[in-house]
Amino acid sequence: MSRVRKSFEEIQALQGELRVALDTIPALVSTALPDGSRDFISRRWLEYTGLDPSDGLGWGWTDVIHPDNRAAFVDRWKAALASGQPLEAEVRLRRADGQYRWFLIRAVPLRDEQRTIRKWYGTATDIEDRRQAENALHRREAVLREQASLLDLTHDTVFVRDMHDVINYWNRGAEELYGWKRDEAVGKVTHDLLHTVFPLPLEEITAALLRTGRWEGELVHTKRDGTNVIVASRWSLQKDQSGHPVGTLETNNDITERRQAERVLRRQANLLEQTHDAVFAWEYPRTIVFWNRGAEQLYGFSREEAVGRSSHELLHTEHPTPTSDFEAALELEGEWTGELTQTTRDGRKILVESRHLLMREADDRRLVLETNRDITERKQAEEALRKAQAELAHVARVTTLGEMAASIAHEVDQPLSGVVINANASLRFLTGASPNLDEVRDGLQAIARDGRRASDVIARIRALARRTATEKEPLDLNEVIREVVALAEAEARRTRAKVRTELARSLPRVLGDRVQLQQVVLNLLLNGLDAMTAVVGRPRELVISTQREANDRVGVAVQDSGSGIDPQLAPRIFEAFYSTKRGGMGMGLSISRSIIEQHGGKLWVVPHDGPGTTFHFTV
Amino acid sequence: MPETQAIVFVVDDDASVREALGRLIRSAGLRVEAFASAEEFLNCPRADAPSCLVLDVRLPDLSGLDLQRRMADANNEIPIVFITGHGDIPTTVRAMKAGAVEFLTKPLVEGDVLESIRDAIARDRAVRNHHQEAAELRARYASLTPREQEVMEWVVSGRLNKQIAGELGISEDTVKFHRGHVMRKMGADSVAELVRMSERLGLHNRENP
Repeated sequence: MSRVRKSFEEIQALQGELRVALDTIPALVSTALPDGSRDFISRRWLEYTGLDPSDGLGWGWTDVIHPDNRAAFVDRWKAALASGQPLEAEVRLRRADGQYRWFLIRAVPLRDEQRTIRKWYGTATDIEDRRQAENALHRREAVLREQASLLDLTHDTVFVRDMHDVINYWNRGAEELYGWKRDEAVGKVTHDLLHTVFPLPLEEITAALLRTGRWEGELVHTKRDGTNVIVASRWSLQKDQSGHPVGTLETNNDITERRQAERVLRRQANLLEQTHDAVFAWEYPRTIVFWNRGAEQLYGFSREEAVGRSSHELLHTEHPTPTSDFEAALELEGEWTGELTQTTRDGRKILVESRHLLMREADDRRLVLETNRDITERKQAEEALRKAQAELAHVARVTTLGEMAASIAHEVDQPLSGVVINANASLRFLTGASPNLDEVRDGLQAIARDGRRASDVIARIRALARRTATEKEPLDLNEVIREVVALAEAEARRTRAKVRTELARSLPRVLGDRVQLQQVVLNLLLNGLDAMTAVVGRPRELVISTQREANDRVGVAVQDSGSGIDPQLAPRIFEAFYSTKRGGMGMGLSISRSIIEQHGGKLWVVPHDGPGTTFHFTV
Repeated sequence: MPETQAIVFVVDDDASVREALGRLIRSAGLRVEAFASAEEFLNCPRADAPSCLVLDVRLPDLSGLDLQRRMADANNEIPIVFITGHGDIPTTVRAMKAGAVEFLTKPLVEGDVLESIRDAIARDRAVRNHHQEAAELRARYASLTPREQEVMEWVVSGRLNKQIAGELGISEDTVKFHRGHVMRKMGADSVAELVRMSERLGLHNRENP
């Protein structure tokens, strides 16, 4: 008995110890009857869940299982009860403060000698921290996977080598650039595989890498196909958790083309230095960013003085047209050419032939390249030549008018005679016994008309005799010709010739100097009349015709029926001082040709097979 | 003879001058017909009246001098007053030799122009009168019978009636009868007048039979 008692006491003591032990282990412990209802839960259970002991027993405890896990767990628990197989499940259990944490629940059956299940023993172990670590690991793995695929996606060449320069990672960019597949490259020594040419001794580079953890520079590598490639290379040292260097991540960018383009640019920049033209570049608004030697020489400002300044302020640039027009043209066409007046450092005004090129940089910055050539002297020489030619043309005009003096006088005499006679006749009609006022009125009208006619003639002469600066204006060549024909009418009558005009209707206006073009037509007309003075037995007829030519130009032909020109002499007649006329100065055609050429046209002669000659010019 | 109204023809290619001359001439009470060219003038039928031609020396195509020659060739005489812009002596000489009345140089003086025109018309009138008288005389002479013409020839030769009767073998009375007819038909008041008429008709004297 005492043995039983003793045993009982021992068992009770053992149970008590077991309780204490159960309560001290960190897991939540419980027992359940074979039907699955709880009959014991440890103190930790109660503490964790905050349940009353009565709520935690039976099936009530399942309330603390996270709703997402609850149904599934209950099913599995019932299945285990039915089969008698141990259960292991991970579920979230609600803590007293309402927060859920992951637990690993294990349940094992206790059987008697008849293998009948007497009880289930269960533990719930907090695995929240493990789960979190696992999740973090999964996330990190996902990131790594993503990074690796990104590394494959990038065009950059990326590989990793260990401290002995043996390659252990080789991305798709590297495969594409160098030509070796990943499994061909991995395991090889980088510099042997790629025949790396370093800008510095490798020891220096390695020292810098170890010191700072990074290195950047340009390398030359040899590809699988034997060609060289220039790369911008970035190295970064990889360290393990304890800070020991374990490898190098090398990222390379193919800059072969850029380097070649740069070499071309450098060569071009050198060329820009060689040219005598002033070449500079500015960014909006007008800030100078480049200034070549030619610009230094032309303007007298050194590069240091010019760069950063406003080109307009520096050079006092004067545009021939409003600046807004110029800027619009540059914006629209991307370039502008024209002449500008600028001022050099020593205050000298110069005229430059300028070309502006608008360049849009990749980053949408706009750069204007301005190339200027000093044409001051050329312009002055041109101006002097033009003046001399205008002077000569004027002398020739006055000479021509002198030669025409007799017929011009006649041309003025006629209307003036009309005026005088009409005045006398009108007076007589007025003073008679019975004045005839109709005749007087008609007479006065005729006087007014004839007076105008005389003054028109004089105005035409005066216009031709005037010494004016060349002024180009839009002209109707038909009108120019009609005026000349009117002026030469008397001369034609004197030489008994008919002057006929065949003028095209609706001619485009041409830009020209009225007086000088009249001079050309007059010269050709008088030459034609002169050529016909010896003509007997056929009409002396001179025809002046106009016609529209391509590109809005106008062609004029002066055709006479004179003695004609020896075709062999024809080319010489435009030479200065060459004359076939007695008393001719031999300047008329030479001057006419230079006038037409100044108008951007041509003057030529077509000798006829028979008698007659035709002069043509275009303006 | 009735005074028919004179016509002045103007040929000048310059409209101002042509029109002004026309007005000036009208102001002197004369009729004017103006032409721009020699051809126009030649192609225009002209009235039978005393007239003159005011002509510009320098005309296109047919010149003033050409026109003058053309008219002389056609026996179509008309007094010409030439107008020229400036003294051109060789032309003047040629024109005057060819019978021009006057040579006016510009600027034209109104008085000179009208005076020259009046002179020219007067001359034309005289010539026309002269021509008209001669024609009338010829007509009268033609109205004589052949015997009367014969008698007239002897009369203007200074023969007496008796001598004429002897020459013609007719009676003296018959001579007297014919002679009376001659004097009356020819409208001569005296033998001396008949002699002048005969001279103008270009008849030759019957000096000696």
